[in-house]
Amino acid sequence: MNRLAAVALLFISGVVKADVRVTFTIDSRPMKALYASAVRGAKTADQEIADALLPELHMRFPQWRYVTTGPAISSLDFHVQSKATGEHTFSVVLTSGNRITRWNSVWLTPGELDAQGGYPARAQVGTIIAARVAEKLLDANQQAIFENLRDNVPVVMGGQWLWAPGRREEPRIVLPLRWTEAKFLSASAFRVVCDWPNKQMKATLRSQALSVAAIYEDKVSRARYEALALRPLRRIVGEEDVAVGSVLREMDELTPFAVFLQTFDPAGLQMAGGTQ
Amino acid sequence: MNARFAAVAMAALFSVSTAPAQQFEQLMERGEQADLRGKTIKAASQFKAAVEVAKTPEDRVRATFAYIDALKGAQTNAGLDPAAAGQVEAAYQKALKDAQGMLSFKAHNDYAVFLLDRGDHARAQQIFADGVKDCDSVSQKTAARYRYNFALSQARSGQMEPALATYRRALENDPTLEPASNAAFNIVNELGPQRGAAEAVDLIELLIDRNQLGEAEKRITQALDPARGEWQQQSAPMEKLVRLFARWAAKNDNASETVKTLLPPLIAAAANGGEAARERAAELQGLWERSDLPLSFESNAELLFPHWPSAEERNDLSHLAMIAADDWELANSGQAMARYIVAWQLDPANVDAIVYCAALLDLRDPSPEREALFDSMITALFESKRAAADDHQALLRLHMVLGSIFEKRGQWGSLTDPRSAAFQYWSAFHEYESLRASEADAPVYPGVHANLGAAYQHIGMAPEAWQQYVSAAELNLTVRQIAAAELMLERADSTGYVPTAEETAHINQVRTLLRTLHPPRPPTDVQIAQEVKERLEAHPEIDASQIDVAVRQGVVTLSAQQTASHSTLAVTSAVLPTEGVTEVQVEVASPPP
Repeated sequence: MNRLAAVALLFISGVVKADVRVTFTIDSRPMKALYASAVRGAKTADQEIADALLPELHMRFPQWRYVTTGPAISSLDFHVQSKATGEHTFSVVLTSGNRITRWNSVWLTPGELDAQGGYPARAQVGTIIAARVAEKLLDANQQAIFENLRDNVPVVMGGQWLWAPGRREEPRIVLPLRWTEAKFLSASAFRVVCDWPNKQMKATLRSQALSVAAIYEDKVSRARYEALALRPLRRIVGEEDVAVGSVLREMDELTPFAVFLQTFDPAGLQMAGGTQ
Repeated sequence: MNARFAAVAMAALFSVSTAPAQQFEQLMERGEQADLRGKTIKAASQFKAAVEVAKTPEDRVRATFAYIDALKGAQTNAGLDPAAAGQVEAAYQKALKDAQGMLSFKAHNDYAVFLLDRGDHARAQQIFADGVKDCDSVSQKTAARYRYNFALSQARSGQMEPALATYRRALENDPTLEPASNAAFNIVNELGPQRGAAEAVDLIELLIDRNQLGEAEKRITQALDPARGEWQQQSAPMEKLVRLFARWAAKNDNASETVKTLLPPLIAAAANGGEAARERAAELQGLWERSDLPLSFESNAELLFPHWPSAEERNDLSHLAMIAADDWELANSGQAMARYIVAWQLDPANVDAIVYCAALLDLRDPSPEREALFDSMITALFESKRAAADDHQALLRLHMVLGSIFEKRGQWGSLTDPRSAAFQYWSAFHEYESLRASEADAPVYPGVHANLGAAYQHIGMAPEAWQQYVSAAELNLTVRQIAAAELMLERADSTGYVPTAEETAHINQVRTLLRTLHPPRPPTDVQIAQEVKERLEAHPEIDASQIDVAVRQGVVTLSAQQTASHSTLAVTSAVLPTEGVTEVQVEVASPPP
């Protein structure tokens, strides 16, 4: 199953949020023994660390949304491992569809655990380990992780046409992203993957975000809110890449289902050859 | 002038000065709303009207850009009909005239992009050239995009060499700009093997130096493609590629698997590239694949790598040896250690090589060979201290590892014997002091004090041990390691040292802080019951086996047989001082008839 097929399956099965599920697993035997013996409240040390990682991820990759429970279309699975030499390493595996990418980083070299006087106390394990993961793993691989998220993980699922089919107006897509939370994306470009049921294929719309908000109407909750809107510029189907302006009549046959970030570009300079 | 007249005059003045500004904003707002609904013709007319009423050049340019966007709508620059294209071009020329600063930079870029997309490469190139001077006053990312566009205009005008240079500048501004990397390598491919191979490795070097390791890996992989045999025959670039491969791997925390994948094609490609490339690659391969590297500090790693002469290259190899060692660790710890030794010999400032070697050595079964290696390592330590005198953190770790090894052997020794825990922990402490003096945000390492405290205690230096334990407690409190702080205070007490009045005041302050951060919890009913039982058992006049103890929220209920010999007073007075007890109830049961 390819990545888009996997995303489509989740979408059809009712997962409409493009959330990234975050887990943390302590694979180090001494750490496991230390933290397993001290259950604090209902949460395990693993869960506390995963919770504490959410703000760290949000700070570095604010374009995506992260959860620790529930269905999600992709995951970031963090691990800590240790060796007999005393070396401890962090790793993270990004899984989206059938694509898996892994990054590693040394947390503690031999001797360092003794120097710091042992592992963090149970009461602080979440905040301390999450801060170290952020420093050693996320900061060290920020560009590569960002590029992988950008290419493989949608920022949001779905979207509505702000457009009456058959009229002369140009199409706009309103995304289920609240303006207050997504305004920082208003200079970005996106790839909107759409279903094209009439042709039983997929089409990608290269689109530019607009600097003003539009109203999104949630069909399920009936909520209406100001949201980020896009101007589709090019339609790509296989090798065919055409300006949306030249295929306006076919636009209402498309159903947006997964929206990927293309460039996060607050500079707003045009690039030759259309939106990059 | 009466008040009414003044108010009317002020209102008139106000309307003269603000009305156009309000009108401008209203027109812009209407234009944006129309554009949002896809009514681009209406939007364009609103923005055009806004241009007419704009009072400042900035507003005029802002409205002009919006007008251009609306005119273009969902058409590309190339797809615009001639009439619309003429309007767009006229608007860009107007913007170019009015704009200043960043807006001028954007006007140059967008107008030139428009011309480029319309096929007017020469004029596009001219406009880009006019504006490129401002690249120094914008962000690196913005400058990179501008230069990318500029380079494209040069390439489309057939000026491939200048285009390549400009793409390179774009990558220097923003090495993450993938289109610039793709375009630059496309030109390189067109240059042919002789010129292209040299340019390709220069671009790979740029990517590695700018830490674009993923992109560099992609380009190295392409360069090693067997289909590029002719390129690989260029001896100087091929030799440089082998060197860059080592630099790339040395910088990459995630290189291990990829190195193993890329080594065979590297060896194959280097075989085409002349003797120097071949020899370098073979030595690199040996670092990974040889299973006979000498496990000795007396060997000379330089002999293993005669084709890697410069210090910079040897530093890269040193890091690569660490990665190779990590790879060997499970299969053959001896060969892993041999690689750590090689890493240290290639770069004696690479203290971590010795740290890992020491940690691995500690895991080996005792043997004369192990002891000999250990002795050599202590000598190596002093060489490392000379070579890496400023790397306090790595030296601290090394002393900690060695200290723990001697501690496990029970060799507490003395502060002057390098083959002792006391010396190593004392040295770790001094490295920590230097680290804190040189780095404001040095990590907090209470364990350094704790271990030195233990060493002092073992060698009979109680006052010094007491001080180190108290320091460890204080540092633990700064990082909220409460239990560890409590333990350190207990250890300070265990030294038997009687502190001076000043020291007593100090430790009391630490204890107060500890209580503030972590007030003692009242004992649970189960803990109270346990304590009560122990007190009863310890009392000489009470037969504890005759008494049942129950505790509920601090209230202790003692149930005894009437025949029991002890008095109620004795029982109560034994139990009442127990911490957490609020009340004692004694129930005396009558014996069964």
